[in-house]
Amino acid sequence: MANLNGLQEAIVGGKLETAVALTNEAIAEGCDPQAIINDYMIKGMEEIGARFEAGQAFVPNLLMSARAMKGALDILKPLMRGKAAGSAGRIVIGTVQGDLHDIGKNLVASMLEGCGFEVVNLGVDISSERFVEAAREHDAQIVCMSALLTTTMPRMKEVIAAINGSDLKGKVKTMVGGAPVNERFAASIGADGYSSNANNAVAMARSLLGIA
Amino acid sequence: MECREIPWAGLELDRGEIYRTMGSSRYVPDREMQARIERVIAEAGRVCRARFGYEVLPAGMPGPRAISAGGAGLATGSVITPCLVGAEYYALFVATAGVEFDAWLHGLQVSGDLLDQFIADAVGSEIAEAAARQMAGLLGREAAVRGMRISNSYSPGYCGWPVRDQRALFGLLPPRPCGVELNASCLMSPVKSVSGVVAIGRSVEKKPYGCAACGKKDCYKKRVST
Repeated sequence: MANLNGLQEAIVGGKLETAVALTNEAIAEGCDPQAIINDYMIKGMEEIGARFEAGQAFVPNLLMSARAMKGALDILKPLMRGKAAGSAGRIVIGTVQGDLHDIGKNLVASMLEGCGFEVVNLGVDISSERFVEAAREHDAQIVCMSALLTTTMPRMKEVIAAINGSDLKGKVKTMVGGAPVNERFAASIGADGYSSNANNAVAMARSLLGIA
Repeated sequence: MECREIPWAGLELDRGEIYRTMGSSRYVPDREMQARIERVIAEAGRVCRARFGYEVLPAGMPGPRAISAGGAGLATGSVITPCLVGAEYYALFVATAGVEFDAWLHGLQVSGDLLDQFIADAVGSEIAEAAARQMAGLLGREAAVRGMRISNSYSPGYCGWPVRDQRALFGLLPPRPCGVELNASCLMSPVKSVSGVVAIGRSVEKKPYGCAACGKKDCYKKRVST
């Protein structure tokens, strides 16, 4: 019998190999991929997220859990082609022009992927035009921007203006984050959401897309 | 300005600081994670060529929020400037993990595991800080010979010193000091670099450092340290 509770624990504990092995076992035994995701894997991510918010887990723990989750999802996703529930939503993410900081943005991308979002990671030093093009090309529902410098924060406003000045206005939500960014700044530039950490970014993305 | 390379064995990396950068002041990695961190540190050690250099210039303090070094103004702000009181000279410095480390880190970003990237990023930050500590140690010894003391080091982008002032600071250093350059956003490349100022003088005191001296509530450093 498939050890799905063990899979959930492997996600919480960030055990990639265990998560992959137990997912393969579950599939071999005919378990429904969507049920595995909804009833066990997402619950595992919610558990590690709650521990993070409570100060009982740290960024490396989140990262390892997201990695385990993604490893399991990579097995399940091909089995769910055509099912809308396979993706929580599509997100384009990047670090704004003039800024080369990568790791925080990659962490957010990893958490979003681990929680079932399809993520297009554009990289660093991304222009407003490139954000708009990518959002259009990938039919994204959210554009996430990162900046780690006070000198590059204003670029976020330019990206939002470019989105609102295009055919994407009203169709794409925007989220911002990064060390010098705060909620007040996010509101001042018209961003739809702000997150101070990778775990909260998932909750914010879900909220913006109306996912419970 | 002499650019000094620091042998890897001479870099004293503070593991606690690496853990803090990875998590928070309360983060204690388990044995498995510690082993992984040590492996990344060892790999970094095979490529890293950390360097530092400084330029010593006559000091001035035109007001409570600015200093002048060699006659050129730096907007150090109301938090840092009082920490530099008594300066007869300012040492303007850069310390860097080096272009070799940056290239290695970039390679990890392209092909490596995100967890290793995350660890390497924290290790790189600590390498740059350790290089800056080496710089301060040497500067302190040289100052002591002349009966002087040094302050802590302070950097643009922190404690109210605008990051855009990097341009003024770098304007007082030779071109590409220790291989470090600024982009249009005043971001240093290699990214794992530290620049700043240290006060030198007979009446200089080491005043409370960093977050202890700053009331800025939305500062990244303060967020990480809590």
